[in-house]
This record gives sequence, C-alpha cells and structure tokens, in this order.
Amino acid sequence: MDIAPLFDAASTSFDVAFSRRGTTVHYLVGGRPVRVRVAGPALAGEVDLPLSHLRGGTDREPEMTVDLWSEEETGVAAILGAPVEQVRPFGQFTISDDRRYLGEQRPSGAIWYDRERNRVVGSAVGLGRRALDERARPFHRMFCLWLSGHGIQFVHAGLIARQAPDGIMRGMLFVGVGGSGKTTSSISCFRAGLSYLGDDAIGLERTDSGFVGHSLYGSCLVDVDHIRRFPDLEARSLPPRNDFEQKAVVYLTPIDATRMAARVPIGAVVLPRIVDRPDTIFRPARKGQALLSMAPSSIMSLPIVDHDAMERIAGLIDSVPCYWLELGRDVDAIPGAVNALFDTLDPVNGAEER
Amino acid sequence: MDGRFRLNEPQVTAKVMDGEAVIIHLGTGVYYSMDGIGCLVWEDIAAGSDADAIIDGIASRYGVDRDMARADIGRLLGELVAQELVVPSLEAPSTVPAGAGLAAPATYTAPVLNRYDDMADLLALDPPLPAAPR
Repeated sequence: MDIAPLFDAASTSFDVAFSRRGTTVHYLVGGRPVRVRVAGPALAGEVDLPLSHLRGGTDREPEMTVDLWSEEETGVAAILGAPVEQVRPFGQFTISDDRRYLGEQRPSGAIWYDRERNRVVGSAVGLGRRALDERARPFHRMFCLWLSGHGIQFVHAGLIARQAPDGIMRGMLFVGVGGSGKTTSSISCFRAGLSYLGDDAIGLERTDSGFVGHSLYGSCLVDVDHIRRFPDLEARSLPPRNDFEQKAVVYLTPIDATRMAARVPIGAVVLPRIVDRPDTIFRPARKGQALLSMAPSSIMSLPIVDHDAMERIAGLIDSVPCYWLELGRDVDAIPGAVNALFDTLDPVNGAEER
Repeated sequence: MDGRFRLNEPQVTAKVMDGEAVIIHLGTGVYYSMDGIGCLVWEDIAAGSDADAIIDGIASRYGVDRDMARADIGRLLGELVAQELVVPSLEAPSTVPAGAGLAAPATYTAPVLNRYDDMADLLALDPPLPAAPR
C-alpha cells in the first residue's frame, strides 16, 4: 500500500472538515509542544480526555501536529487504506519502505503519519466504534515513535510520584509483563493520594540531572476482573463492549486533576508481582531482573525498532535502585508499602541505594 | 558446535547487566535470559571468542572436565543458533582470553537459556521493523 497519497488525501479532506467544525488544543507531550486539531466536537472531547492534564505550550511553535476528523460529525468521508471490515479488531500497521510514512488502520478509522513533517492526519468513521485502548491512549504509537526521535524512550510501565521532604517530586516506575500488577499498583497509589503519571505507557528521558519520566496519558486500562476491587473507579469507567476488549477505561484527570503530574525524576524501578500473602512488602531486586522485566515489552511495542532503546533502558536501571514489590491480597495495603519504599529513597533518610 | 559466532543483528538486540544476559529477537517477539555460565558464554561470544576458546576458558577457570564443558556449552551454542540469536561468523577469533567476563559466577553449573514467548502472539502479525531498510 502506498501511504503518501493516502496521507495527502486525508490532509485535503481534513481541511474541509476542519473548516466546518474544528477545535484546536495544545499539549506538551514529553515536554514538547503538540497541536491537536479535531473536526467534530464529540470526537474532540474524546481525544482531549486522556490528554487534558498535558494542556499547554500555546506560546511555542508546535513540533508535532495531529489533525483528526469525525466522518459522522462533519459529513466528510474518512480516508481509509482498506475497507474497515477487512481490518483486524486491534488494528494493523503499514510502513513505507523508507520508514517515512506509517499508517494505522482500525475498524474505527485510520491515521497516517509523515515522520518527516511530524504530522499525523486521520479520520474516525464512527464514534461508537473507537476501541477503548484508542480512547485511553490516542495516537499512542505515533507519539512514541516521534518522541523516540527526540531521545524519549517509550517504556511499558506505570509511574507514580510523591513529594520528598526536600520539596522535590520523585517517581517510582512500575515495570513488568502484563498481569504483573503495574496498573493495580499505579491506581492504588492514585486513590491513596499519590501523584499519577500513567499505568502502562511512560516516556523516559535522560537529562543532565538523571532520568525523568513523562506522563503520556491521564487514563488507565484496568482488567474487568480487577476493577471490581476499586468500586469508586469502576463507577466511573467505560466497560468493554465486545469480545476483543477485556479492559475498562478510567480517565483520572476528571477524578482529581491535582494528582496528575506531567514529568518527574525517577527515583526507583519497582517490579510488582502478585503473591499469595495478606500484606504487601518490598525487597531489593537484581538489576538484570529489572532489565528483563522492562526491556522486551518496551522495545517490541513500537512498529519501528529504535536500536538505542536497550541502552536507554539499561541506563535508567543502572542509575536507580530496583525493588520487588510483592503485592498481597489486600490492595488497600499497597500504598502503605509504596510510601515506606519512598521513605527509604528520601534524602533525609540517607538510604538511597545504587 | 565449532567456530566463531556473532550476534544476529539487527534482528537481535541484547544487553548484559548484573550477571544476566537479556536477549530479544525482534523478528519473532521471543525473548531470552541467561545468568551464570550462560551469561559468561554470551559475553565470550560478543567478545569474539570461538567455541573452542570458550569451552577451554570455562573448563580451565572452573576446573571442570573439558568433555562435560564441551557437551554443556555445545548444547547451549546449538540452542542459540537454533533460536537464531547468533549466526556463524567468518571473522578471525578474538585474542581476548575467553571465560574472563565480568559476569562470571562463583561456581560452575550447566548453562540454561530461558525462553519467554508471552509477546510472540501479539507481534506475530506486526513484528517491529528495523529502523532503516536493509
């Protein structure tokens, strides 16, 4: 499939759609200005929900632009590479031979990315058809590819944060394969008052003063069996609607915007795992185990490999202490263990391990 | 298994950290780990040692029977080749002594290649592509 003509056609159609019902919002994604224009008010609201805690950057020239329209709301036909009936439920990627253009097709529409122009343009065929993971993490792979070009590595991890006595926020990165407890740990801590940056997708950046983690989405995707343990969140969740979806979406910014953070220095890498015990405890983990828990799913989740990814991830693990977090049966006990771990990291305790 | 091997790049990316080799096959979505002697062997391969030098170096360092080391390490090399993590190399072997890697464990135990395929199904239809076309 030749993506460039599809990108150009989508670009032309977007201009028509945007002139009818357009909204522009600016965000700072990975600390970099992104302009998102959406034609169709309901679609614009959907796109903004998981990104709203990152609004800002209106005074800066956008480094990335995203243009999206709703066929249903604007009457402008979607530009699709293949009929939606032929697209796999979780979507499929098309990448040009020179890696300049990417297409992501879903049953709900298609988005096209020109990496040279740092522009995504696409369309949604029907609001009700957008999958929950699309709603929770819009433009996920496109954003992550774009950020990797700026040295910000996507990591498959949760991230929460707490302010230390010295006034500095410090983050704890939860890593592990699916089902290890990243989301449970992240949302348990959010409910207990800690700051939240993500449950599954984080941007990792090396700075002069160490590694920082960037929030990418203010949402979480929670397994339907687990969300029942958080009735307050379940009441505000969007439940799965078909056999292909097994997780519910919760938008956390509307619950408490003050607990949403955009970026924090990372103080520790934590490997949750579910154990059969009543309480939750932490203990040191080997750095090799942390790399094994973090690198494969972080590196393989993007459609184009970044060959610096392994070194970036290893650099973080080498620079901070790593711990197992053994999650017991009582989810309400998780924040207590995490706070105790934060206490050991606080400079006032003088117990930072390397 | 004789001769020298090299990492099957760009399909494979790997890193040794804290005595553990983490190896990812980007084409299949399967990933692997090795600690102990296995990690030491991996470091020796990366350093350019040939199979005989690796076997001799480890047998000598740990005082184990050479035939046993040959059987264990030969089996591991066979697995690494079968999983397409390494490929034969025609380059001249390194002169760096084998078995001197930083990951060296205190005692000899037969090396084990741990294999994880929990991501393979997910990536079967859309495996990640190399950054630049070959």
